[in-house]
Parts: sequence; structure tokens; C-alpha cells
Amino acid sequence: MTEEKTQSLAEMIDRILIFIARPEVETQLIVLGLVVILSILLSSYTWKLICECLKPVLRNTQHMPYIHSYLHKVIYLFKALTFPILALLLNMVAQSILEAQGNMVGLLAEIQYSFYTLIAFELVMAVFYANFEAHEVSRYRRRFHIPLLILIVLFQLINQFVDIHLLAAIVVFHYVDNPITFGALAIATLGLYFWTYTINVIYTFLLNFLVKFTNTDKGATQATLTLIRYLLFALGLYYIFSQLQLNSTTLAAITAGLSIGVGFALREILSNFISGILLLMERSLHPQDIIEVDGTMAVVQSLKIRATTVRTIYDEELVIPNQKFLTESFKTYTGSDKKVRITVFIKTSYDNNPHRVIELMKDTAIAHPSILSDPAPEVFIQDQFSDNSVTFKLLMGIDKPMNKERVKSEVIQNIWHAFRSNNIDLTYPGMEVSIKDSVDQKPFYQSSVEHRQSSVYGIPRSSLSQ
Amino acid sequence: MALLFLLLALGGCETVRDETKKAHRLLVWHSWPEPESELVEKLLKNYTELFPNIHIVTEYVPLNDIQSRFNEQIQLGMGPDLMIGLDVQQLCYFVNKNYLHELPTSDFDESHFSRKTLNAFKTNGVLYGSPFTATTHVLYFNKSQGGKSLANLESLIKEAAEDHRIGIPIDFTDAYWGIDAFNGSVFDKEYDMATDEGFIAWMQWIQKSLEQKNIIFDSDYEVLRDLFAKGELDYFIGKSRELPLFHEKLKPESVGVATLPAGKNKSPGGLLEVEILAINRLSAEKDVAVDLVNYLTNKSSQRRLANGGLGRIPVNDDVHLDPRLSPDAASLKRQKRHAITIPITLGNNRKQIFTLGDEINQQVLQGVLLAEDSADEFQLRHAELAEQSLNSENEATQ
Repeated sequence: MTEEKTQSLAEMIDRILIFIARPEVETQLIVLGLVVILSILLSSYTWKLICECLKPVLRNTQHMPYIHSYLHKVIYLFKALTFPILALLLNMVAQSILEAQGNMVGLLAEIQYSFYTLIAFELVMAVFYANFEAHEVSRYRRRFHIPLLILIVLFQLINQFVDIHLLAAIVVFHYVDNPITFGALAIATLGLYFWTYTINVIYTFLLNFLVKFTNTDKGATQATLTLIRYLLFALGLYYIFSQLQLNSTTLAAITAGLSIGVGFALREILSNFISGILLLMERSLHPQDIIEVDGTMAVVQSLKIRATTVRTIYDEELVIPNQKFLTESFKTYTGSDKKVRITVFIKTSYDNNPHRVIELMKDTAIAHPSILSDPAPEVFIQDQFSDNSVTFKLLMGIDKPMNKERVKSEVIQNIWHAFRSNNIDLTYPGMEVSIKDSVDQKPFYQSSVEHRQSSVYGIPRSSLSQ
Repeated sequence: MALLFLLLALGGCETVRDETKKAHRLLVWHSWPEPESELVEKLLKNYTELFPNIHIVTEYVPLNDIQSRFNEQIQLGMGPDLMIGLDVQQLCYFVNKNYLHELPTSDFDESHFSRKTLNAFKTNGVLYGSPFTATTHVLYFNKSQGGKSLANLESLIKEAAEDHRIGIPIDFTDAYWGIDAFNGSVFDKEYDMATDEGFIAWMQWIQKSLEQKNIIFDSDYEVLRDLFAKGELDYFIGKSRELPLFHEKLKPESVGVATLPAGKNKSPGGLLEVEILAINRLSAEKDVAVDLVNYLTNKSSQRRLANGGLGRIPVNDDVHLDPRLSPDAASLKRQKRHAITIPITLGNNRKQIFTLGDEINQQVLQGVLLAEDSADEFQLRHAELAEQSLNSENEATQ
């Protein structure tokens, strides 16, 4: 701590003490305290009364979801606005009384703007609650809205006592001969926090808005917005460094220090961050892409600074470092388009006409709503004639890769029904067992073989041949 | 809320202490820019060294901003405890608004001031501001270019004839000394508008001097000041507070200061501009502030101000300056004795008269108006203006 800073801070404190020692200021502060306390008590009491009155109404509208939710919004708005409006009104009354007594009321008049700010903030929150997910808005309120409100009110209050510009100019410490002021520190900490959160809020809002109200592809939109978010964040960082007013020597010192840190501790993080940006820029991976991770299909949820989050078809979330996608190969189903080919193998008996089988398989595939006409389904006889069956390979196109397994299963079921209706025999492994020694009693393995021969995949042969 | 209560608690802490050891804090605004402010800061520091329980926080507020800032601050119950360096207009404005604390005759030491000066700052017999320093017009001469003190206007003409360039600002305020040089005035004893023969004589002198090519009359004060500072003028009639500028631009040993040249056997005086100390009505430390005012106007502080080389003239009449030790300061003090103080009660009328005076001076200078007719014209136009103001006031009240 430097002497300059101590003196300046002491002066600021002295200035505040000088003002609050004045009866005119003291009176206004006491009145303000009373206004706030009274407003809290009155708003709590009013809220209690309202709750009592609204209980039956809310009970009666439970079966009407629209009205019920509308009522909830109105109630929220009422609850949120009670305190600031009461405080505002009481403050106005207090001002009139003090003014009539010949007191100065400028402080109360200035603080009135804080109540207006509070009302405006609550109205914004009401709009958010009405249009977005409640838990998202609550999170936003907790992390951004309330801290920002507190900061603004504090700013307004402190600004009445000391010149905020002078306060911001106070030097807190020196870093390599560079004075670091309160203002620069506030921008570097609070400013960065609010800037980052503002970018996130705008990102979420724009993403929701564009996906909901336009025909843009969610993945592409998310990728573009993510890049813009990084760019805005970088601009914020640039502004902060410019506020810190570090000279070239200081910057060199910081860079030297950072390079060691980056070289060891932050190497992986930076590598992942740059990988994420490269992935977005070359568009090899972006949110909503369907990829295969360790043999399991998954949808890319988000690409963040360090890692990519994917959700598998089993609803598991996997967090994969970005670097992995850049250094290792991965399978994507949605690279240039979302069309993928799925394959079904069917074995039929040699007794069936292969042309008929192919025709039936094609028709069945075409009839399925998820199968694309372009590329058209194709059926091939697989490789060679095997011992007791002919294997047909059905190739079909779908545009929703995540539904691959379901579609496959449905097509097989449909083929089964089609074959059954057209007397096409599915094959089963045939086996002839010769028993040289005649024994009355059949050994246990023979009965087991007979049982297997009498059924195909657990379905009795008799029922298959019908 | 927590912050609010903390503030109140901090404020309340002081009251439980022993009254004799009680710490006092004062916020002082001054209108003296750097480097002049160093002298004020030093005086305040000395005061706090004498009274360690008093802590003073100072803030520089430019003279032009004081009125608006104080106006804003006092509405909040804030503002400084003491203001240093107000001008007369600001004092009038604050007095009319009832923003200032009355200087109590019991505590404020009036003995250092001349009765005439103090009365000029009283409103209904009450003093709301104490004079701090004064400035008036003096004759500057450049010694290195052969300049010297001039006894009278004839010697000034003579110097011009000898190829010495002389700058005389002709703005009404800056040229008022000339009226006094001819024993004239634009006010009667009650400070009502009354031009006389002296005014006409001064106008005639100006008209006559226009023929002198080395006498430069200009209504733009700054132009002439800068010419003298560049060494392009040998003589200049300017305000005493320009002394530090001339010392900076020319060599200090080259700059001479003398009393204004006399007219008809009369040592003339310019208008006295006074910087004022005033106390905030809402100050919680009014007694300490009054005590500080007494300190700033006492003999010792005033002598330091006079010797500070800032061209400020002490308002404390008990201060005696030895011409051998501080010739410039002594000349300024001598000139102040003849200076004319316009009472603050003149209010808006002062501004009206001075604006009209500027116009009359200009018309005489341009030959539009004869010097002989200038006094009557001045009187007539002032009467018209007064009637117009009266009518508009009546309309406003109706």
C-alpha cells in the first residue's frame, strides 16, 4: 500500500464523516432507514394478506393451466413490485414533510432514483419469467440481476457522498511502477464478471430467439454465437488491459510470468481452448452434431472453453477435452449432411425366390416413413451362398442418425411380417445328427438338439411355416 | 441498509468523546489553481499543525464551477464547510439563496479590516463573507526596455511620445481607474448612478490619446496582457494578480510594478476585486470554520499571502510591507489604499451599469459618441434600462 493511496482513502472517509455529521444529512439518512424498514414490513404484511385471499383462487384454477400460470405471473409481479413502490411512495411523503419543515431533501430525492431502478429491474424480471424457463431466469436473477442491482444502488449512494471519479482514481497498489487504481480493479473484477455474464445472457437469449422464431439450424447458430461470444470476451479482456494502463515493461513482465505459467500449468487448458476455437472455425464439430464416442452415438451439447459435452443415446453426459477431437479421428454422422445409411442383414432359405425377397425387402423399406427415398433403399445378396441360407443386405438412408437403432428394428419387424404374409421362409441353422449306437434312453444333449431344431430364435417352427 | 446504519454509527461515534479532545473535520473548497494553491494549502497545513485535532480536507473547484456545484451539494445537505476565493457575484447569489452562515460579530475578528471595506460586504448589516485577498489595477512596466514608474498621465503621454508602447485596456471595469484619476465617479454616495465631470474628462483624455500611435487601447484585456508578457509592450495597466505570469514570462527583475498614474492631482484607484471566504450554513463545524477564517485573515497569514509573489493584496489593514524588502507587494498595498470597493448590495444593478459602461467606452473609442455627450448618454440609457426592468418586474408580479 502506498502513502498516496492511504491519504486519498483517508480523505474520502473524512469527507463521508464530515457529511454524515451534519444534522441535515443525518436526518435524511434516518428517514431513509425508516422508509426502507417500513416498506419491508408493509410489503410483507400486504403479501401475507394477498396470499390468504388468493389461496382459494389458485386452488380453483389448478385445472386451468393457462389461467393458473397467468395468475402466478401476476402474483409474482405484484410481490416483486410491492416493496419498491411502497418505498418510493413513503420516500415522497417523507420528502414533503421534511421540505415543509425547511429541511434539505436532496439526498432523499437522489435516492429515489434507486427505487425507480428497482422497479425497472423487477419489471424486466417479470418479462423474463413470463417468457423463459423459470429455473434459468432464477439462476440469472441470482448471479447477475441481484449483484448488478446492489452495485447500482451502492454506486448511487456512494456517489452522493464522494465523487465516484475521484474514488476510482485512488491508487490501490503499484505493479512494476504502474499505479493500479480502484476504478481499474473494479473494471478488472466486477466489470469482467458482469461482462462475461452479459455475454452469456445475450448468447442464451439470441440462441433461444433464433431457434424459436427463425428457421436457422440450431447447431450452426450455436457455433456462430459461440464464436461471437469468444470474440466479445476477448474484446472485454482487451478493454480491461487498456484500463489497467500497463506500460510495455509491465506487459513484458506479465507476459514473461504468464509464459512460464502457460508452459506448465495452463498448457492443457489453453490447448483445449484453442482446439475448441479451431473446431468451431473449421466447422468440423459444432453443437447438435451426432458423433460416435467409443462406439456409442452421442449428440454434441456444447463446446466450451475447455471441453465438449456430449449426450449419448443412453442419456449419459460425457465431457471430452476439446484437444481429443483435434488430435484424434472421430466419426461424425452430420459432417456435410445428416443423411446416414443403415444396413440390415436377412437370411432366407434357398427355397425362396431371391427376386421376390429383394422386392419385398425394398417395398417394406420404402413404406417406412423414416426411410429416405433419396438415396433409395437397395438390396444386395451378400458375398456368397452359405451352407444353408442366402444372406440379403438391405441399405437404407435416414436423416435422423439418432433414430438409427429404432428404425432398423422397425424395418426388420416389417420385413418379418411381409415374409410371413408372402410365405418366405427365414432360414435357421440346420444340423443332422447321426447316432450310431441305438440306445433306448436318449442322452440329454440329443433332446436339447431336437428342441433347438424345432424352433427358430425361440419361435416354434410350426408357427413359422404357417 | 447495513451500509446506512454503519454510516450513522460512524457519525455518532464522535459525540461520546471528550469535547476538548474532539476531532473536527472540515471540508474546504478553494478556487486557486496550481501552483497558486500551494500557498493556500500551506496556510491550511500550518493551521492544522497548530490545532492537531482539526483535520482539513481540501478540494480545488474552479471559480466558474463553484456556484453550480455548491448549489447541487447544498440540496443534499453537503457541500464544503468553508469556501475560499468566491467572487462578489457568487457571494450575492449565495446570500440571496440563504446558503451562507452569518459571521458572528462575537467570534469574527473585524478589527483588521477597514470599516468601508467590511460595510461593502454586508447585507442588511450582516456579514456573510469575509474578504480574503484583494486585486486591483496597477501599472506594470518593463524595466529592461526602459520602463519606469509614472507619476501622472502627462508623463504617460510623454513616454508614448518617446516611442514606448503602452497598453491600456478600455473595458469599463479595467478602465474605471481613469474616472477616479479625474476625480470622477459614476455613483453618488448612495451608489445610485450619477456620472459627473470626471467621467467626461476621462473620456476626453481617451479621445485625445487616440492620436498617440504608441498608446494601444483595446477592450480585449487578454490581448494586451499577452503582448506585455511577450515583451512587446513597455507599459501595461493590468490586474495585480498578473504578476506571477509576468515573472514567469519575462525575467522577474525586468518587471516593475507601480501605482497608477495620477490625473488632476489625484492618485487614482481601480476597482477592488476581493476574494471572499464564506461558510456553509449547513456546516456542522461552523465555530471551527469561523476560527479558520480568523486565522486566514490574521496579520501573519496575510503577510505570507502578500509576499507569496501571487499579486494578491492583503485585506488586513494591519499588515505593513517594507518597500525595501518587498517592493512589489508594497506597491500593490499602496495602490489598494486608493482602490474603490463596490458594495454587494448593488447586486444586478452593478452588472447592468458595467455592461452599459462598456458600450459607452466603445462608442467613444470608435468616435460614434462625443466624449462631452458620454455622461448624459450613459445616464439616459441607464434610466431607460431601469424603467424597462421595473416594467418587466411589474408584469411578472401581475
